[in-house]
This record gives sequence, structure tokens and C-alpha cells, in this order.
Amino acid sequence: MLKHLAALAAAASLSALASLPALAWPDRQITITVVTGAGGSPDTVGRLLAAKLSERLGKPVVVENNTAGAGIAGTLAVARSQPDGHNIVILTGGTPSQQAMRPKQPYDLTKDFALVTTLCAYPMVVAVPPNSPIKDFKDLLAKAKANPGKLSYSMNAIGSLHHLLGEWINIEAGVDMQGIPYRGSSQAFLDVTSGRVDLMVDTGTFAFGQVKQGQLRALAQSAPGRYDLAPDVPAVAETLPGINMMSWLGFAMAKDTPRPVVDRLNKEIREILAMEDVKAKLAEMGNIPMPSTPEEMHQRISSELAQWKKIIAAKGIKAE
Amino acid sequence: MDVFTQLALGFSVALTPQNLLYCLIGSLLGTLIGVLPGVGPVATIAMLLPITYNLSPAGALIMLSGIYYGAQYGGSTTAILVNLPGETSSVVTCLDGHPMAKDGRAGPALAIAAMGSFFAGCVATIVIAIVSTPLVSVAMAFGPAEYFSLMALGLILTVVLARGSPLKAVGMILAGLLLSLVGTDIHSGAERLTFGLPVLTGGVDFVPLAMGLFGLSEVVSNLEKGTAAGGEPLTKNIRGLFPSAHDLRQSAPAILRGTGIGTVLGVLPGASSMVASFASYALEKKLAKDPSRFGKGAIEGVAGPESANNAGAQTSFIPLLALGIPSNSVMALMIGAMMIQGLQPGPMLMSKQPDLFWGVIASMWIGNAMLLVINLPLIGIWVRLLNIPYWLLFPGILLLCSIGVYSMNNEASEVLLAAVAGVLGYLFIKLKCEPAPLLLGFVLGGMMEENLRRAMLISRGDPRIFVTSPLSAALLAVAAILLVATILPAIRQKREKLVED
Repeated sequence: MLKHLAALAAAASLSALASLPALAWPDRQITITVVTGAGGSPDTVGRLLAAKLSERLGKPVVVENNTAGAGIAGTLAVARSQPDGHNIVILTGGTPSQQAMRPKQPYDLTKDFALVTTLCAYPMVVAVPPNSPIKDFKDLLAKAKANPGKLSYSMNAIGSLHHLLGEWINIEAGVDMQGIPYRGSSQAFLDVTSGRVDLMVDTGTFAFGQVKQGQLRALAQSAPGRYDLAPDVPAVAETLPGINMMSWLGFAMAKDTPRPVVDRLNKEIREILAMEDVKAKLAEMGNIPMPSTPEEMHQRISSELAQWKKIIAAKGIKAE
Repeated sequence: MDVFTQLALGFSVALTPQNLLYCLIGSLLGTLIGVLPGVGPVATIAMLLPITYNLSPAGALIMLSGIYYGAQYGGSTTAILVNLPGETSSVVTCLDGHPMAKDGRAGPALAIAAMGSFFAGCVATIVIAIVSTPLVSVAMAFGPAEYFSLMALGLILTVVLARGSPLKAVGMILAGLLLSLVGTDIHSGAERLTFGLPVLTGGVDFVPLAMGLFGLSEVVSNLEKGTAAGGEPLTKNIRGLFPSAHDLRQSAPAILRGTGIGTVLGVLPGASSMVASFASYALEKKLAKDPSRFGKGAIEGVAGPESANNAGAQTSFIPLLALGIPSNSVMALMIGAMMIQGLQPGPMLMSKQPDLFWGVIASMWIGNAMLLVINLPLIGIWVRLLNIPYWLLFPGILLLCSIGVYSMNNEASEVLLAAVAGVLGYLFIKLKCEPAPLLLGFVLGGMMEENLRRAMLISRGDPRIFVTSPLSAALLAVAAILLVATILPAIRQKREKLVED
């Protein structure tokens, strides 16, 4: 009889545990999928957070790079994974623009994911070589107006944030600068510094480093106001109100991941992002921490999607 | 401060017991992952990055660069032994390295690859130390128009490089160009030839393609020849582990020329070490008294390209150290490592932290010497692999290939892609078509198209940009001359044949 009771009690306590998924998670290794190459900022930040997370969660957290299919394959795999909180994908500011460019892609960021939190952010930068005749951002717009179609800016592929910022400036300022697509910043930088291309639109991660070295001069950055890590660089919005764009990183999991798991991960990330050493490492890469609630992240993605679609439609940018 | 005091400072940093250890670990790890097909330095360095947070900045960079040039050493091993190019640059090593192995001369092939790499590594280290700043201007001089012309020259060289019918070579190049079109076009955002498959959105990856075309098709064709059924090894008569005096005499000039080509081309961002290695191959074939030996186990065909790709790997540090821009994805990782350490890569690094800058450079020389010492005794062990009965060896090759391709992206569909490429490669063997021109067309084609369109955008649609730049015009002129020189003998031969008939 006593034995029976003990067994019952054990069973009862087990079922009590099972009804608290936040305690049962994580029960095995967590995989963070990074859909860009090793060495890029999503990868570096991902690995930094993975190390901190595995210390705190007591389970291994590993980063896997999957660049297949321009990142669509890896993102899709996480969207379709078991919704148990063991598969995370790092979304970036480029993910909504990718969706805006490809209405037919196999997932919808606003519907097919359990968004967790944004992680960190940096603005895009408009920069010229130190010896450029262009004095500042206003001067750039004046010169672009005086020479329609003559100035060129380096950017990433069509539909990238680089491109969208360039075209947004074109729209708001009523100018016509020609975007030249590059794969990555290296060749773009060489062409800009040797004068073949007039200016560079690039990520804060890349540009602020080169500005510090005296190899580029920043004309403007795309944060809503002055940017903490480069307070002397004016915001684009100071000249062209309304333009603001931050590139960010964020965690997402499969759609039906239980809310307690999402909340627990959100809390851990919030605490990790507040650590001084993490802040310092992010700052080295031109990033500031930007934790959010899942709802705020959803809101950000929706409004960006709408904004990018507007620019794409206005400039007739089409993937055809 | 002159170069010697600077180098002395560098050696004082690199020769501390701790940094020597990091250098050894890096070179050893690099050799290991170089030998494993598919597992490249990019993945390895990415995995090790978090560990380097706790090392000294110099120690971290010394270890990571050791992995990079160590992998260049190791990559040639599988190319020579089992015809598996693990990396872009070792495709060219397959061409003559594997025939040498089949002929029982794997030992000399591996040894000359190691020696050539060592020599090239030493020269390139000195070049980085002395002329990295002037060499940066080479990189600056290359804009889209110049890149396009360089790629055009490269494609012409590819025809020269092929053995057998130039017509087939041209066909294979065109097939490679077509394959390079697959994926999202960065100039229009359009998806081309992806057939709605998400995995093709980013294009066909080089590694599964190269592994299928070279490694897998080789396995199929070996099995067909019945070597497996009889339990025979790949080769029975292994002749000598080290190159003879004759081999050395033949290789020495090739190593010198390969080092020169690699040193210059390595500075250019892009697929530079591959372009360097096959430019060196084409040059050796053109200069050879008897070009027909190439493709059948000519030792210069191993010595030149191996030196070129190692020199190129080393000088690809120049844009990183001098400008703070990466010339390939490994260099992008190094920038990540430096930023984590609170270092800003770029021109100020040399003046602000000379001990770190020169320490890393000195460690490259030490690392190259270590690699030679590690690799020469290993040759005996590698060559023994060829004694294994093929029915035991080939499942291992297939397994390594599959793991390698899968682990790149954790994507099963890429293993399938390698299998498809393997079938294609077998078909090419049957049709007597060379896969090398296809791969080169594949690599060069994408860059050529992008740079062509970029150049035309910059010139606002004026094609004269390709001839008004002296560098571009010169490259195009060389390409034209080579093309004529290749076509003329073929036409003459045909005419003679007609007359004889």
C-alpha cells in the first residue's frame, strides 16, 4: 500500500513537471542556424551568444552555417522544424527586404515563425573616400541634383538594404544616383577609393571601421537620430526627414513553439545583452544591443515589409 | 626602421614558446582539414573563433593563419592520391598529380608539392614584409573592366590548358559558364535556371560540383575497369618516395615561375589562388618542350600550380593587413577575429601595433618550415594508402566526400548535387571531355559576367571602357594573341590532313 502511494506520488510529481514546459526546456542541444557565411556579423554575433547561452542553459548551443539557396533553405528548415525550441534561426534586417523582393518565397516572416527577440542593430552608412570633392551629405544631394544620373554608389545585390537606402534617398531628394551592385564590401571599397565609383552605401559594421582608419569619410548614417557609436556623423533624417533604417539581427523559431519557451529565451537574451563584455564586443563590430518583445519584433518586421514594398513599387525594382 | 629590425621584432614575438605552440597547432589542424575533402579552413576557423577570445591577439591570429596556409598544403594530398580536389585551387593539382600517383609516383608528387609550397611561402612572406604597400596599388588598379579582361584571358588560357580537342574544351567551358548562371542574379535580382528549387536560389556550389566531376566519377570509372573486383590496389609499383635529381631540375623553374604568378595574383580579391594556380599550369604547358606530357603525370604540372596557390594564399593577407578588407571568406573571418580582439584591421595596424603585425608575418615563415617538417615524413604514410585494395578504399572515399559536402551547409540536397555531378563526370569520361575547363568556366564565368555588367554600368553603357584602360587593353591583347596562337596550329593541322587525304 505504501509502495503504491509512493509510486502515485512520483507519477504525480512527474506530470506536474511535464506541465511546465519552461522547466523542461532545453532538454538537448540547441542549434542556431546562420544563413550567411562564417565571419559575417550574424555569424560572429551568433557564436558570441551561443557561448553565453550554453553557459546559462547548461546544454550545448551550436551555430550552423547554411548558406544554401541564398539563405532560404536554412530559414525554411527552421520554420518547418519541431516547434520545441531547439532550433533557432537568426533573421537579419535583410530578411524582410528579401521577402519584399520575392513574394513567392516559401515562408512568410509575419506568419510562419515564433519571433523571439531582436538582438542588436546598426545603421547603414553613406561614405566617400577622404579626398572626395563631396563635402557633406547636403553637398552630395546638390551635386547629384546638378548632374542627374552621373553619380554612382556601390551597394550589394538588387533589393539589399544598401540598394533600398540608395533608392529611398533618390526618391526623397528627387535625385538619380546609379547603384552599382557588388558581392560584399571588398571590391566595392577598392572601386570607391580608386574613384571609379563616387560613393559607398555600406553597413555600419564595415564602414565605421574604415572611417576610424581614415580610409573613408562618413557623410551620413541611417539611424533615426545620431548613432551612439558615431555621434559626430549626421543622420540622413536631418536632411531628408522620414528616412531611417536600421539593420538588425533577431532570433526566430518554428511557428508553434510554446510561449513559455519563447519567453524564457527572450529573458536570457535580454540579460546576456546587458552584460558589459557582450556590449563591448558588439560595439567593436559597430553594433548596439537592441532586445525587444516578440510583439515589437513582429511590428518591426511588418512595418519594414510595408516600407520596402513601397520603395520597390515606386522605383519599379523587380526580380525579373 | 628598416625591414630587418622589423622582422627581428616579428621573430621575437613569433618565437615565444606560446606562439610557437599556436603556430604548430594551427599548421597541424590546417593540414588535417586540408586532407579531408569538403571540410575547409572557413568552417574550421569559424568553429575555433570563440576559443580565440581568450588567447592573446597575436596568438589567435598566428593560429588562425596557420590553419589557412596549412589547409593549402593538405589540399593537394587528396587531389594527388584520389583525384579529389578539396578546394578550388587543388583542381589543377589533380590534372597531373593523380596521373603521377597512378604511375606509382605519388611520393615525388607529394614531396614536390610540399617543397614548392614551402619555397613559395617563404618568398611570399618576404614580399608581404617588404612590398605590401606597393602591391596594394595592384589591387587598386583592378576595377571591373580590368577584372573582366583578366577573366577573359583566364578563359582563353583554359582552352590552352585542356588536352585533346580544343572544340571539346570550348564546349566544356560553355557548359561551365551556363552552370555559373544558375541562381539569383545580383544585377537584376532575378532567379535564373533554378527550376523553382530553393536550394538553387543561391547558385550551384563549387565543392559538390568539383567533387562529383573529379572524385566520384573517378571512383565509378575505376570500378568499371575492374580494379575493385580483383581486390587490386590503385597502383602496385610505387617508385620512390622522393623526387629524383631529374625531377628537381624539371620542377625548380616551374616553382620559381609559379611563385611569381601566385604572389601577384594573390593580392586581387576574388578567386585569386585558383586563377593563379591554373595560370601557372598553362604557362608551364606552353613553355614545356613536350607539352603532350601534361595531363599524364608531368611533375612541373604539380610543382608550378602548387607553388602559385600557396604564394597566392599568403599574399591574400596583403589587402587585409594594408587596407582592412578581406580578399576571401577566410580573410573575412580573420577580420572578425581581429575585431573581437579589439583590433581594427587596416593601414594603422602596422604603425600602432608593429609587434602584432610583424609577429604574424614572422610566424608565417616559421609555420611554412613546420609544415615542411610535418609533411615530408607523412608522405610515406599517405603513399601506403594506395596499397590498400580498392574495394576497401573507395567506400572510404565516398564516405569522406558525403560527409564533406554535407557538413558545408548541413544540406542533404547538396550531397545529391554531388551525386548528379558524379554521373555527369562519368559521362564526360566516356565522351573524353575534360572536366577542368568546365570548372574553370564555372568559376570565372560568374565573376566575368558580374564585372562586365558592373563595368558597363560605371561607364554608362560605353564599351570603350575595356580598351581605354591600359591594363584592361593589355590583358585583352594577350588573350587575343593566345587565342590566335591556339587556333592557328589547329587549322593548319586540319589543312595538312586534308591535303594528305
